[in-house]
Amino acid sequence: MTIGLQHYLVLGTLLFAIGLFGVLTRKNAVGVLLSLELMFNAVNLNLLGFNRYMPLSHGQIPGLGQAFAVFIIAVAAAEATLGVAIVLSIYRNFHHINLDEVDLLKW
Amino acid sequence: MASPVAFYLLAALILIAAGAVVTLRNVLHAGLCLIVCFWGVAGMYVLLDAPFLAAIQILIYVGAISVLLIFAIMLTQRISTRERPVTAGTILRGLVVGIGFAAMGGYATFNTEYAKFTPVPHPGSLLDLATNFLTPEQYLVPFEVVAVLLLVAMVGAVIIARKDEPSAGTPLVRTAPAQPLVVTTVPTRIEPAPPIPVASTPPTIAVAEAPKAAAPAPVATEEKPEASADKPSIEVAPATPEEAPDAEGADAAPKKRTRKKKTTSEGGPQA
Repeated sequence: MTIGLQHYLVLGTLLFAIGLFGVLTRKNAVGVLLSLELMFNAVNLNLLGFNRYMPLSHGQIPGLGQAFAVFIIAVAAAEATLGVAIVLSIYRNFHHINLDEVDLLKW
Repeated sequence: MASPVAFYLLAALILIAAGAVVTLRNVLHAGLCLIVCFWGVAGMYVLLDAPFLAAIQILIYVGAISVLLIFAIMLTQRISTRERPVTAGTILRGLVVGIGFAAMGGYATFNTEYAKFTPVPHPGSLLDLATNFLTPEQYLVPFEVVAVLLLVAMVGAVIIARKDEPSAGTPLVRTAPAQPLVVTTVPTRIEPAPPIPVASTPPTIAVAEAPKAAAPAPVATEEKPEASADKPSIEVAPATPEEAPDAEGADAAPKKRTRKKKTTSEGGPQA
């Protein structure tokens, strides 16, 4: 039994679903950031799976999926940096980071 | 070609670590499990013939982002602090959404003809990756834009997480009482004032005496409605707008007086 593209896609789907569950159930803001990183990894796994198995169309250079994965890693790094900065700012103002109690914008 | 044993071992490692990330109540332990998950994903990149991406994964995710998140955990709470338990309704909603998403993705995957794809001969070497990034017809512009994005994120993170100056604004929710910064310093500076003749500044005396005269007046108006609360008398209503400017003058006048005395006391030793 060989490992095909669908194996990687199912693994990416499961990882993304786990991350989604974490984002929805965590009350800690840093816990939400951890779950977000799981979802980024799932997307990268999907991209590299397609990069390995999908034939290229005309004019495309090999390694296209890897290039997109690098873009996603860069954006994820920027997101984690800003997310941690926001969490620290929330902690400085509220002295906790429980997301269900940070409801200043909730009417 | 990936061997099935390596794939299933890495998949089990990734999924178990990811499940621990989202279920452990101690957030620091969750962060450590996230590092294990990142390692598993890096191994999966090796199986997918993307060794450069595996190196990037280890450098950036395991090396940088995990440390950043663990710093955030340690800066915001005690290590032994457990997250408050979530309600069963929240877990149920999360399970419904997560399982629903997984079912949708699995259904789409197994109903698409993915099994006919075999590994391509050239999945992309490092030279191909560089050609993709640095050819203007390919992705040179997005590559540069990502560099600008990282710079913007860095500057923005510094600005957001910077500790404000005391005058830059008050915190949104203040649990600790405000520190009296100004009040303690003012009377000590006023004390060396007495040798200065105050008679040269008559308006300050007039303003300074006005609040003393006006001070008992608002107290009287406040006591009146308490004493006769049953009848909302007409006497109180016109009295307050007349004395309201006096009360404001009582607030504003001492500031004027202290400032002028400060200037005279500072000018005194020089003269």
